[in-house]
Amino acid sequence: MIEEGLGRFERLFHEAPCALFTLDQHGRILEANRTLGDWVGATDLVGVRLADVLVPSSRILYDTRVLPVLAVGGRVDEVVLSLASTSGPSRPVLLTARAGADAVHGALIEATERTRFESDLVVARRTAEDSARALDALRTSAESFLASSTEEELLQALTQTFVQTFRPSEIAVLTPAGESRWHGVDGGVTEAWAPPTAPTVLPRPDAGTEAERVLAVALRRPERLAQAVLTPVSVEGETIAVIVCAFHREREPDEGAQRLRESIAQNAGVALTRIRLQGRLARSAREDPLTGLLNRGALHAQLETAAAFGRFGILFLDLDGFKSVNDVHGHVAGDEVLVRTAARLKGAVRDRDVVARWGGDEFVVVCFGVERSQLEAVASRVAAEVAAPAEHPVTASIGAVVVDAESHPSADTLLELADAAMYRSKQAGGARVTLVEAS
Amino acid sequence: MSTGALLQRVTGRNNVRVSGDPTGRPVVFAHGYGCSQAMWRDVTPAFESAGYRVVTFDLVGAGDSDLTEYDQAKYDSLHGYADDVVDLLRAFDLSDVVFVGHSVSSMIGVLASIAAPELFGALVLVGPSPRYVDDVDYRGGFRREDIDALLEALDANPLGWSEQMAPVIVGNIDRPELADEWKTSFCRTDPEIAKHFARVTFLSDNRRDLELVSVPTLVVQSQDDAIASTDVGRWVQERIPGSEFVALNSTGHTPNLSSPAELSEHILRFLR
Repeated sequence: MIEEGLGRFERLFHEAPCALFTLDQHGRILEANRTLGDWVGATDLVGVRLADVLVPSSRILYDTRVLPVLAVGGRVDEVVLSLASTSGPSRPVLLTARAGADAVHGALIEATERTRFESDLVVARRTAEDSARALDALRTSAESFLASSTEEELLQALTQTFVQTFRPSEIAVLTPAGESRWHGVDGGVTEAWAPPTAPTVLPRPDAGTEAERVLAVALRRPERLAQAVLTPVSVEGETIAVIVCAFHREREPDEGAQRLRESIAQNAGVALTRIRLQGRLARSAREDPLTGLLNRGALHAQLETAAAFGRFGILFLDLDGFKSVNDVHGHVAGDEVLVRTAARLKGAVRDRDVVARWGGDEFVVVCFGVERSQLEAVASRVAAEVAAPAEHPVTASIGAVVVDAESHPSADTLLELADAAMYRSKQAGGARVTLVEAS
Repeated sequence: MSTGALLQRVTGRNNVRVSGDPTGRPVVFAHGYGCSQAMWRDVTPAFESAGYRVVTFDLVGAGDSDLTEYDQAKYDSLHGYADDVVDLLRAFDLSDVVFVGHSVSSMIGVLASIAAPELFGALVLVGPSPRYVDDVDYRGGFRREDIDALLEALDANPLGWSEQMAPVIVGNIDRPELADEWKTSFCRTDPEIAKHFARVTFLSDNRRDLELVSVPTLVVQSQDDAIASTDVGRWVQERIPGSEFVALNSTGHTPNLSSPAELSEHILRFLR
């Protein structure tokens, strides 16, 4: 209601369909029209700070952003704020203001409809952006997992994905150190500790707790930790790493992030299974399945390159008495003898020597960089080991060939020579070594 | 990194400006959320006249800082900003520093002084709050929903963050050269950075850091500060060992803009 006697300009001021006001340098209202009073449900606003008639979120924006911009820049245009109302819901308004020499002049225009429309758009856009981000993280991580051919590469790709997707303040990878302990940063090792079996969000741990001690070993800046997310990486029921995302600021629970973490970790697990399988396939192409020694094909490859190491020698072994073990005690007992012999051969040779199963009860040892006398020493050690007491004792007929650096016999030639030398040992009654030199 | 390289990097990263007496005691002014070092334009002259070496800078993401340096992981907590402050003091070889932090920068100063106490001579916290969201037995003044609504409001207000403001300068009629200096970039930022910084500022909890402060500290509190109440200011002062408290007559959250003279006077008195 406008009382009688108001002048033309006063009516223009008070009856305007927007709120008009002036503020002093502290942001206090010097004058305001009735529209503003009606909107906030107050009759006298003089001396009130404009901030005090805003809802809390708008108050923050106003005090930290609008006032400084007005003071330094002199104007603000179309800032969306919400007026608090003592009766009814808050009222979104657009603020436009200009700073004069000693006062700020401002206007508020109602923006309820526009804000509702825009906030729907904003929500839709944010939802779309969130999904796009999640999809992108899944796609790029899947690509980098596929490109990984070792467990180390995969862990690196996974860490990289977590850094880009979750932007932790610090990231660490715990790897097993044996006896349930874990390698942390800078050579540190945790106490025995059972990691979680699914991605787990931990608040800042209390002093003196197990979590605090583990994270102190895992992180470079444990004192800044506000929240940690632990993601175990498992393959075939075995946890091969725990990724620790450390945040220096606490976060609200985020279901989307948790789902994304689980999906990425699951993809990593699938990739790890594939990497292990490929490793096994590669090994099975090289290994004799019964004894785990190199097979004939892999031995050939070794012999082709052996000459590059200068002098070398080979031993060709055939077990004496193996046939009767097989005939009398059966194939299971025979297999046991072969496995036992394989283990004894590995124990008798030097670390860099190679042991292969040629077939049946025949074995080949390649000794790199040996003189004749050294090859003889290895041969006698091998003979003694193979003949050591056991449930089904056997001995070995051995043919040894020593190759000097200048001659480059083919693998086949060499094996024929060794086989012939072995045959002479066998002919002489077995359990002995015959050594020849390749020329 | 060599001292020269660090100096160059920090100067560009934080748009560092130095004025006043080069031999004077260094006073470093750090601005709060929402604006830039322009917030201090009416405060610094008193310190220049009083013989101090005055350093102002923009937090990364604000003003004329190097936006390409904005690393979300680093600036996901106030520690990232505090590390920058320590870098700045080291690069400019400053010691016995008086750090004047407004609003969120008061907590940044607290963290920096804990990380490198040997560089600091005094802390002045203007309108500090270690936590804006209420908690059990603690009233920060806001509910979590209020902060969520603020983040929504920032989404609804993309205009004006990156836009160049019209060069209308008020005040400082007696120092027109200053006006020109400020008008280029003040309060400019990237909307995404503004949102992330809002999240970091208003959702951080640095209450437990206060008791670790070991330098002489002054808490400066305005009347009717709707962002950081007098109760919160008192709470801060009670927890920082040996700190002092001063209440201004000025009202509102930005006494550096509304009552620069009164603010300067209290800080200078504390330093004497």
